[in-house]
Amino acid sequence: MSATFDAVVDEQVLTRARAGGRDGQEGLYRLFSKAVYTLARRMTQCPDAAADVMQNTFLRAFRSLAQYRGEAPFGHWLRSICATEALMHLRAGRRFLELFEPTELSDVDAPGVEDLCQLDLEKALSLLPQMPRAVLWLYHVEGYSHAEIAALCGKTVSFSKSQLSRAHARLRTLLDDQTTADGRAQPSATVVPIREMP
Amino acid sequence: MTPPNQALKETLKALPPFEPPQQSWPRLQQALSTTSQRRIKLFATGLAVAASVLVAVGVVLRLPSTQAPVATAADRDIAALMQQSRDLEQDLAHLRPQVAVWNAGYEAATQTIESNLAVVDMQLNYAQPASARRLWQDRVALLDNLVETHQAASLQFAPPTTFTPSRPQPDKQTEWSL
Repeated sequence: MSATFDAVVDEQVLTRARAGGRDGQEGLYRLFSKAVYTLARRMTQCPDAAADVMQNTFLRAFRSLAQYRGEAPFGHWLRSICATEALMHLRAGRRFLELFEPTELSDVDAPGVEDLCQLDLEKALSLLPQMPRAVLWLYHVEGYSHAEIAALCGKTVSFSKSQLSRAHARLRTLLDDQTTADGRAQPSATVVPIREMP
Repeated sequence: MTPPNQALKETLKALPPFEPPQQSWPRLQQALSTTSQRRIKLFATGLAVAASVLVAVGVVLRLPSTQAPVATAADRDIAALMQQSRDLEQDLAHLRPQVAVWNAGYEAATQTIESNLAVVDMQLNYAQPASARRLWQDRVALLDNLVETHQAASLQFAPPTTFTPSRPQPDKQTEWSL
């Protein structure tokens, strides 16, 4: 999925977009909208918020195209704008929660996900707290380092590590719960007597 | 990367992408057009202001020197208010990172003030010189309240009821409707 941020941009499209040409901008949008929306959706977990983040990402990118000098692939530049926009959205809504979050958490390994169906993972992801989920996605899927995530969040490296550990720990709990629930749901061979209503 | 991390990474990457909403491009186009129109409007306004200033300077130069101080007094008043507003913005930028935790009272007060500020700012874009002074006064009063709210919130855990803004908020319903 992240590979779509690696898509190669036609130089002519980029030049037209730089000049403010609507066809050039549309070309960039068509090439990256799915990747941008997916990243925004994974980080915010809300379709409306993701649509807003996507819109802000492209608006900001088109306004700042003159600053893009082609040192990194265009998609990576756009991805960092999208990640920043999504983190800004998360920060705007989490001022009340910071009081209750521990600042440090020891390293927790990622949970085992072999033989796990996508639906279970999607469900577990949707139940993760916002910031740990965002860090989990940026680290594992988008390939950001802890230092890069810390820079994006305006926090320390230990904050990024702590959020990732929290995501792993919560994911492990959620997946364990699901496995247990699935085990209970399996039909039993023993006959369960049905009590008649008096 | 440890094996569980690698497995998780691969499983997460294998999750299907989301399709953006169908109306995203038209919505973005509209936003881009609005931005361009705003820039054109700003450019046109800038030109108009520059032309007005040139005309005004020309008129002032031709007027008897006794009339000049009347015009500059009003301008100076607005300039002072603008400077006050800039100072308060700077105070606010300094205070914002100091507020680690908000309680509901301060949060609600801040949101109200910020939305009122947005209304004033919107009106300032279209304000006639006569109403500009009043609007700048309102802006300064609101920023003053906002700074005080941030100061109180940065002290933490003081109940919101103990906070009373030093200046009353302007009557937003009647004065600020466009």
